[in-house]
Amino acid sequence: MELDEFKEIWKQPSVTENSWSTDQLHEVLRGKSKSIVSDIKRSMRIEITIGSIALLVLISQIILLRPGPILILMIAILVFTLVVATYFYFKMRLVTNFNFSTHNLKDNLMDLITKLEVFLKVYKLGNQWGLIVFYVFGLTVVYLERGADRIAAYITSWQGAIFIILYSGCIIAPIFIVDKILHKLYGKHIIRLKELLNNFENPPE
Amino acid sequence: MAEISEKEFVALINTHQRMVHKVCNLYAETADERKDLFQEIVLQLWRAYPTFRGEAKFSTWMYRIALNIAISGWRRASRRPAFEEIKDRHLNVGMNTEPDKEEQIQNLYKAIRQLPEVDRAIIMLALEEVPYEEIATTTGITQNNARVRMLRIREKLKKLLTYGVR
Repeated sequence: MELDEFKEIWKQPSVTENSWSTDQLHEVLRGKSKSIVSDIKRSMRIEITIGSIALLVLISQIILLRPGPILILMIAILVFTLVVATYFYFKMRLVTNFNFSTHNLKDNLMDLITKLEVFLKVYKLGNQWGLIVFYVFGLTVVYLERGADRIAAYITSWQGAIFIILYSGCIIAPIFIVDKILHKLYGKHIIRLKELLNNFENPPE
Repeated sequence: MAEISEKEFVALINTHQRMVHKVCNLYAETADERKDLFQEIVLQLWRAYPTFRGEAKFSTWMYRIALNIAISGWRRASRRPAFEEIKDRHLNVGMNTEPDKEEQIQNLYKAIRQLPEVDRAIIMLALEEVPYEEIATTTGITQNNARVRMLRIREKLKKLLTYGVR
């Protein structure tokens, strides 16, 4: 069989090329995208909503606080969160502004891989450092509230030890859980995209 | 590009939808996947249409987006069915193909689906009689590379169609 014969077959209409009615096409335009970029956009929207609620709670607590070291610390947490959230938002926009029409297949693939890798890196680092910073902030609040002597006594008690273990667990576990989830959602896809990119240069036999 | 109404865009897609279905047939295995991919491509075409400057032919622009989505932007349904609100009510307009011809077409699709994803894009463009220069522009490989790959693809397809398609 030669290319011209393939072309002849190719031109034949097939039942799998069902025509969609104009009504169906209109419905599609109002549908929900499930591209990887749209998935990220959706998860970002959820995170922004949850983050905004958390910030409002934090601000409401700050308003209720009396002037003192804890107030200063809470304001520091608020400023830190806002700076990190702003940085995160602008980095994420790199990915969510991705346009599938801009490049050819190879450049599109390279661009998507780069942007997804930046997204993953920022997300992972933000998650890790955010949790660590909040861990330290949390301990500092307890220190300022109770004082060094009472903290030393509390930590050496069995209740104190359990609290420290649980508190540390609450910080460390999300780091690993989020890493796993990110790998499942995006990491695997990036690996597949890299294999595809490699196929442009070195076609598999 | 001037703004286009939803109605005009749908009319434009209507005239080119066969090409989108062909991309779906090459990159999706099941009917549900094909439907999902078709919807994703049409939706992305609609979103990207304001960036279409008319420098290239509409069909060239359409190929690029459709193949970009099929190759890199789309993930097979694994977690949730998309567009479930849209009921399966295809019209089968003008699809009175003879059974043996249909079998030939399906065998060709199956054979192409066994090729690597990049090769599927190259052969599809070649079957659509897209010149090598445009294949190179659309895929991002050199014209020379496209020609060499086409030779290999043809050989592979011949073998697949001669010794049977899985």
